Amino acid sequence: MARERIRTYAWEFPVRLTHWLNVVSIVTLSITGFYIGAPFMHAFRESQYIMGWMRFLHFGAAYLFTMSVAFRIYWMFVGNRYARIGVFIPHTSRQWRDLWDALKFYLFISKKPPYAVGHTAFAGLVYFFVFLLFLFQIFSGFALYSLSHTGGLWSILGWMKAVMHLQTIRLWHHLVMYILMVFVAGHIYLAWYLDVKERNGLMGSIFGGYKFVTGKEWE
Amino acid sequence: MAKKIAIDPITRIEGHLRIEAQVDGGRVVDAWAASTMFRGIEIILKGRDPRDAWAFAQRI
Amino acid sequence: MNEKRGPTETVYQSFRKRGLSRRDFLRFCTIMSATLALPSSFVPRIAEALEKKEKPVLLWLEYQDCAGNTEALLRASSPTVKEIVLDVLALEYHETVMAAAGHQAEKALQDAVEKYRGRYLVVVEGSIPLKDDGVYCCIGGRSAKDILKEVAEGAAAILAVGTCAAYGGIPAASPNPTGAVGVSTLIKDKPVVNLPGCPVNVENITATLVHFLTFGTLPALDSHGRPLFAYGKRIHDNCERRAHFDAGQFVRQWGDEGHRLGWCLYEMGCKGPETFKNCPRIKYNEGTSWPVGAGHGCIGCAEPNFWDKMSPFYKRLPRVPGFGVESTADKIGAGLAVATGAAILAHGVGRLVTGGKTKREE
Repeated sequence: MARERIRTYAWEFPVRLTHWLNVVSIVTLSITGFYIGAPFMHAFRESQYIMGWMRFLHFGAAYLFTMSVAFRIYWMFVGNRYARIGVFIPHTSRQWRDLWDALKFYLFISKKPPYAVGHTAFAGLVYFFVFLLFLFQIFSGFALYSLSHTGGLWSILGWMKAVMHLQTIRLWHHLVMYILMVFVAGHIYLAWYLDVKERNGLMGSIFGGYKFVTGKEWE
Repeated sequence: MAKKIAIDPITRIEGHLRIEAQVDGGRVVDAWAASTMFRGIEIILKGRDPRDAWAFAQRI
Repeated sequence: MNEKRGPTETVYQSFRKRGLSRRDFLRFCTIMSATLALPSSFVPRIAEALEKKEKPVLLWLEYQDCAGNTEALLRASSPTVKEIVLDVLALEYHETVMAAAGHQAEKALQDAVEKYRGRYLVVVEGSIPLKDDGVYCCIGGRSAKDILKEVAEGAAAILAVGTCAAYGGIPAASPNPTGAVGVSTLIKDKPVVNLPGCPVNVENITATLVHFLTFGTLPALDSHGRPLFAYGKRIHDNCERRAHFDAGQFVRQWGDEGHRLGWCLYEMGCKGPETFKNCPRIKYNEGTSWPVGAGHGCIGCAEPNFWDKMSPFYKRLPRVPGFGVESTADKIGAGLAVATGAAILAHGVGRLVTGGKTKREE
């Protein structure tokens, strides 16, 4: 007999909004960023402004992304318990156990999916590292952007230049894009996979915010 | 009477050079040239993109 | 007050001695003012300094160098720059041009150090090797390290001319077999100005010296010790081909249509976006041309470690350490994409193979 499903509000509006702003920004940043590094389209008239527009879109999306990440970090301190910072850094014994269970599931050792209302401990940890990558992209991007700007604000935003060689910053700015792409591929795949396994409306929850949980999550 | 003299640095050349000469009765009977500076450009070139080689070698 | 004391006459005096007019002199002051990025109201102040003050005594030391900066100084073909440079300076020691050799040369150095102690300027060209007690560069039987330390002691200021003297340059490129370092790594207690470039633009040297004469201080420096008037702006932001960059017109191959039309050299590995120097503005050989103007991308020669960080010169990004010569970030990215796709596929297949049934209550 199937268990009753309880409709639970997991993802608050700011969490979902920043998620989709991130999606839009990252897609834009990746395409324009790739072009900036390796121009795949050439102009045939002097009056065109392809690289100019690509850079403009890249910088615009970069600012959008920065604000989205900044707001999400703020929300980690004021949001509900599924959005809090504790979700991303395993610090309870329950979380460490869940992490281990999740690993066993993904490696086909266990057949029990990691049930959670919010993020599983595994997801939380992965997202923590992804956030670090986001922050790296933001600050390395500002370091590169600050080259053509003068003034006190820009020397503060471009602090990475004092720590790493410019070309190293640039190289990792490119490489991290690829690392994030790997993450995105895995993220979408696992979201689909777990939706099938957990049957709790996972995929829909990032749109509407609700998950349909069985109660096993609290065991 | 043989005398050994050393001229170091040789000036008005590009680079560094040391010349020693054995002088006997106003004539040079033996001489040595010594390179007094080393950078290791060949060692530095190893493993690099060959299309960059000209830039390094040009600075010898 | 204006008595001549041998080589230390004033700049204006030596101009007149060479038969140049006052107009030539004022033209020089104007050029210097422009190079220093000062408004034209400073020209009279520069002129006054060069009329009244003695020419600075310069001791030019060469170590692990190729003499490129010296050649740049001397290669000036038009009489005005050559005369100007040799008139502005009282060059008391320079191994590439001085008449004396051997003992006499070394004595000339010792005498100058004693006679002008505290007042002379030292120009260093070439890096200083530190490995094996500095044996990889010896002059007159003494190591470069020892000579520099001694000469620097009585100097008013030191100009590290060329990227080798500023940051170690080509001898310091990986794996740096001789332990080569730039001047400021060795000399910590004297003001050092870095004038990098491979070679440096001669006008930057002259302008720095004129600044010193006019204001009595070295010009404002950036975090790498380079004068801001020359190294404050990116080449990319000053480039004559920038419009082609923004449009999206790039040279794809040497000699193609775009190359003939003077398009942007970004895809040919130009390091203009990474480099700070005034090459596009003042150019080389009295404003004849500069690398990008001649159709070859910038190699970033004014930046520290450029031999390692700006190479491969024909690629935009440095090699990823541990991945071999042909790897670029994009190739690594493509590899990651394939690996991820494979992992996802394997996981999906694995799920099918293990039956796909998960423990759940029905």
